[in-house]
Amino acid sequence: MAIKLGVSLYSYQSLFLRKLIDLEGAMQEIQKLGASGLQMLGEQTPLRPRYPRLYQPDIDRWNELCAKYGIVPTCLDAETYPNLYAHRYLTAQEQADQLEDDLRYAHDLGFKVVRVLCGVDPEVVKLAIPAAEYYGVKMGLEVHPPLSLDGFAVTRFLEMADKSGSKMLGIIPDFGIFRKGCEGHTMYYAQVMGADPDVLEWINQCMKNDVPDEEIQAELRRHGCDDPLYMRLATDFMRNYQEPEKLKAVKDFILHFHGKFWRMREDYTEVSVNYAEVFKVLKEMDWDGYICSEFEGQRAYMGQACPYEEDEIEQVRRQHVMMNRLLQDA
Amino acid sequence: MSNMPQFPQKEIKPIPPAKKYPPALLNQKYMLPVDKIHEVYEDGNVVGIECSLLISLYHGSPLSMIRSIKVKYDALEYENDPMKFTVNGHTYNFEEMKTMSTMFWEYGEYAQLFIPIPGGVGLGRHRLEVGIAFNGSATRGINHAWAVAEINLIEN
Repeated sequence: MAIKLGVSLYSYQSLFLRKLIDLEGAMQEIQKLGASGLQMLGEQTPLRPRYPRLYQPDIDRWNELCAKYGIVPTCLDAETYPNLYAHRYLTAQEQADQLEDDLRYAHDLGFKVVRVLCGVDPEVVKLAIPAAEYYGVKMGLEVHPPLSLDGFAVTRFLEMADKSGSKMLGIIPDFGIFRKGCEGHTMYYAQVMGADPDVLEWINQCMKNDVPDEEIQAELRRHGCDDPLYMRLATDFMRNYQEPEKLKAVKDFILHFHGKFWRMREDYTEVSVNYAEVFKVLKEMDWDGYICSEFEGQRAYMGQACPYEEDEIEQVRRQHVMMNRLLQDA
Repeated sequence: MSNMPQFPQKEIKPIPPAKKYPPALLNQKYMLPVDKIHEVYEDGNVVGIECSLLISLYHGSPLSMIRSIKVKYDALEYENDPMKFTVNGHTYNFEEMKTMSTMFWEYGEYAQLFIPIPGGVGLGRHRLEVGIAFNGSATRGINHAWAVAEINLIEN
């Protein structure tokens, strides 16, 4: 029983976009970290000819690369497209068929789990159970902020899983639910753009103290700080901190973790995600499985006029130093 | 209000106007490279402008999920047809794309957008703005991508 580490290629998305890294290069980076897990999105990773089609030469190459770099495919992020057409919403069966494409794709590449986006209707997942059984690939509901581990969406999904009698369903918590305070990348962006560091830290403390957005915004306005840089930071419908202890109640359903983070400092600490406490709880639970890095700090600095960007590879490296230290802590 | 810490007791300097950037849009920085915009000729005559675009989502998208394409080229404005969109070497108009659910604009692959301007608008400095609205996956709403390029067209 052990916690193992990996990387979601989502972390390297801007490198993939500009072809500054390819699949083999990404696997090399994972190997350099001493990690083995690989998570990815079919629609983002440059496997060709074209998603969701795969032919034997593509599968052979994938397997060769995985063997060469010691890679274990852990989780494929499934996307469903209910809004595929402008004039109508897809039926549940059509969406389940899309999920089946991902299950087959995952099976062919050796992934054992697909991530189901948190917005997907449980009815869609239910309809895809026969495909999951057939391909031997489990479906995990993404528990992404602002969802709660014991909230309506997760409870409803787990009830459906229980009634179905299938062993192919579970959940995939995203570490974003363990954030206390402002997202690190947004706070840093505001600082670079000229916001006052003391005001930023004040907003951060308000968030840590669970002060509602409206009260923070009103106080900012009262002090003349109504600039969008401040107001954006104080408008945060994604914050819904979950006590890591809650993981114990759903332990048997956890298939995988998305190691979400937004900004790693040079001292190997994440600005606001409570990694230390989660790792402590996971070790107490004797949880066995993969945590794959999911760097999402790109969202702050991709504006056309933004004068900086982060090094995605370095951000992931720092996070792995932190996670390895937490694994070694008694 | 009891949980609210005291606001910093100091003078807060206003943020300079030049620093007031709009919120970042995904991949906006890379979406419309200024060195991939050029005039298109047919039989020696300028028939329009073509620009290359990278997708402004974190993943590739079926063409049917593009809800609109808008362009401003100096004072000229265009929406959807009659522009042409090329992915993977195949060219479509907007009406065709509405039902193209298995054809993807792949992540990291350039698409070409052709804007018909018979005769062109002349060499020199121009401003090109491109806006693309996507429907995102799952239950996400419309993602509005937008980028601007200040270009200096020179003779080919």
